[in-house]
Amino acid sequence: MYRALATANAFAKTGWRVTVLTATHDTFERLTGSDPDSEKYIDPHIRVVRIPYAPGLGERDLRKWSRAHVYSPVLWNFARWLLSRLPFPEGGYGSWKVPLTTAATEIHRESPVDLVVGSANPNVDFAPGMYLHRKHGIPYVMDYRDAWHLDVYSGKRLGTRYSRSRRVERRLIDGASEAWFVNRAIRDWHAAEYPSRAEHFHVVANGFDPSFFDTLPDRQRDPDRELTFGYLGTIYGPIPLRETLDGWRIARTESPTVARSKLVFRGRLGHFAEPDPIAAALLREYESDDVAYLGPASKSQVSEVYRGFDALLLVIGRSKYITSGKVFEYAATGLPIAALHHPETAATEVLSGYPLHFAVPEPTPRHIADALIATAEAAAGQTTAEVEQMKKWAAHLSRDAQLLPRVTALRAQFAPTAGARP
Amino acid sequence: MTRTAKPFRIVLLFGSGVETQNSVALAAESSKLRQFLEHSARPVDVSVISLGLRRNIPGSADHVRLDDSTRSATDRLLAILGAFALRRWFATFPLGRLLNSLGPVDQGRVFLRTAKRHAHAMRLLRSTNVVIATDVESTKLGWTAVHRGWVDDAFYDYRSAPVGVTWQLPSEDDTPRD
Repeated sequence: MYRALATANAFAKTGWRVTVLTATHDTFERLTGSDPDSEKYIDPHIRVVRIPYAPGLGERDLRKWSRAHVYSPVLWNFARWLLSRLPFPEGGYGSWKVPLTTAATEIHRESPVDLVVGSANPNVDFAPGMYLHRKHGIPYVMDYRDAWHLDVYSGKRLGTRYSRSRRVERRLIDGASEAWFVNRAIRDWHAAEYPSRAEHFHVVANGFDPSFFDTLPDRQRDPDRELTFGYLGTIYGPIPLRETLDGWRIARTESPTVARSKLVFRGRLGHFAEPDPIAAALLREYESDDVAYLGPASKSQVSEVYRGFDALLLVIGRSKYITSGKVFEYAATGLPIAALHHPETAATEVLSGYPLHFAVPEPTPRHIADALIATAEAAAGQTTAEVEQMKKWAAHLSRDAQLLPRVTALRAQFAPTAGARP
Repeated sequence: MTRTAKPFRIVLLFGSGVETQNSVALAAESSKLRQFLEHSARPVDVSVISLGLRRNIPGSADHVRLDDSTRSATDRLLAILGAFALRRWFATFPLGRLLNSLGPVDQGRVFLRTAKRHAHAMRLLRSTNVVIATDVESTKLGWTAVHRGWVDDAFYDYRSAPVGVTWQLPSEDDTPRD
């Protein structure tokens, strides 16, 4: 979501007149959870058009539930999932194709569009671009925040080569002006799948948003102070959470600094509005070890949350395709980072050269405990000047540094003579 | 509004049987129950009807536990026929869960039947303004309650489930009535 927000802002910043087509507020409330505070970071020149998505899904008012829905919520959801695949081959989301293309057509009728950027997933978000391209010859860009047919956790292909969704993706890529990927590994995988279009594939990495960051409080070197280790991000299945918590427990028995410290988790439990009960139960299991889960944090609270931390835990699943968004933010804080993930993970490359980066050879409890102890020592001895030095190093990881080169190139390509936004 | 005003009555439904995991999920987002507590002009009275919920919810006005209530003839017959054992096996794979949801031993139907046979639970439902189903298994009872006019409104809101775990009812300090 923050990548999409930053992308729209980047286009607006470089003089494009931007219309964002998205779902209604209640969609996010019902289905994914939302961060309403982040709306104040939308460039005021951007027009936002909202259309409903699957109004019956996630309906809280039982009076509005149909008899079929209440008879078997499992069957009802399954039937919806099947039907949604008819217009577009993406389970659960395909039914949004027609509302999206209709709204996009209306936007184009009101004020002709020069370029469409679809940000996925859901992958149905690519549909308006292809539709306007076919009908009116408008170029479009595919921004893959994830991947459609690559399981970024296992590295395996999803579905068969000749499935309907693969054929649709091929048509989308063939018609796109360019496609963006969040790291080189995902870009290369797609280049191997679609070699004839590889030259149009670009890496547009995630980055940190400087507007969400404030300065950290002054730090004094004090080896005896109580530290707060923090994790800020989504807490979900494939991350080595139990190993991290076991490592934390070991580190507390071996290091007096860690023993008098606490570990705070902030972020969503899972990717959906309903919290993941397994992750919740696991975090509760370690409460007696000074581990606390303090709930999700709005993007607008990010600065405040980081101000409360002395060191950070980067906990990511093993995959060369996973960078994670938080690694950029973490580097921007200037705080010591315990990188508790397999070295193969794409985040390793991002942090390469970050001086206070304590990595593990394998995310086992033993290695994690060692990294946490080293991180604690670095955090206890860190001064404000050293934090500033780290932050300078991270400047190249800002969101603008990733986005603006492509946005500027697109302007030169598609609207070279256009003036600034009226 | 003074404390003597007629209270706004809410009943929380916990129907998921032996599965209590969801009811202790750490949800930090605002729940329907919290919205009522924060925005109601009248004092709010919260009661609970549950099946399989082992914990107490401090501050609740009443807690009707259906666990020990007598099973209906249907349920006794289904138990003799092994339908509940079959349900446990079916619950281990997706198609089985789908079949479970269509049959008579679906936990939502069991909860509905048990509540309807329980006089205290029915009195509580008929005297309440709003029911909040905190899990999918209690939606059938919530839906039935609102469609038969037992209550004014009914909502499905799992975010209300962690009450008493991650946050407390404001009346907890007044008089523990559970």
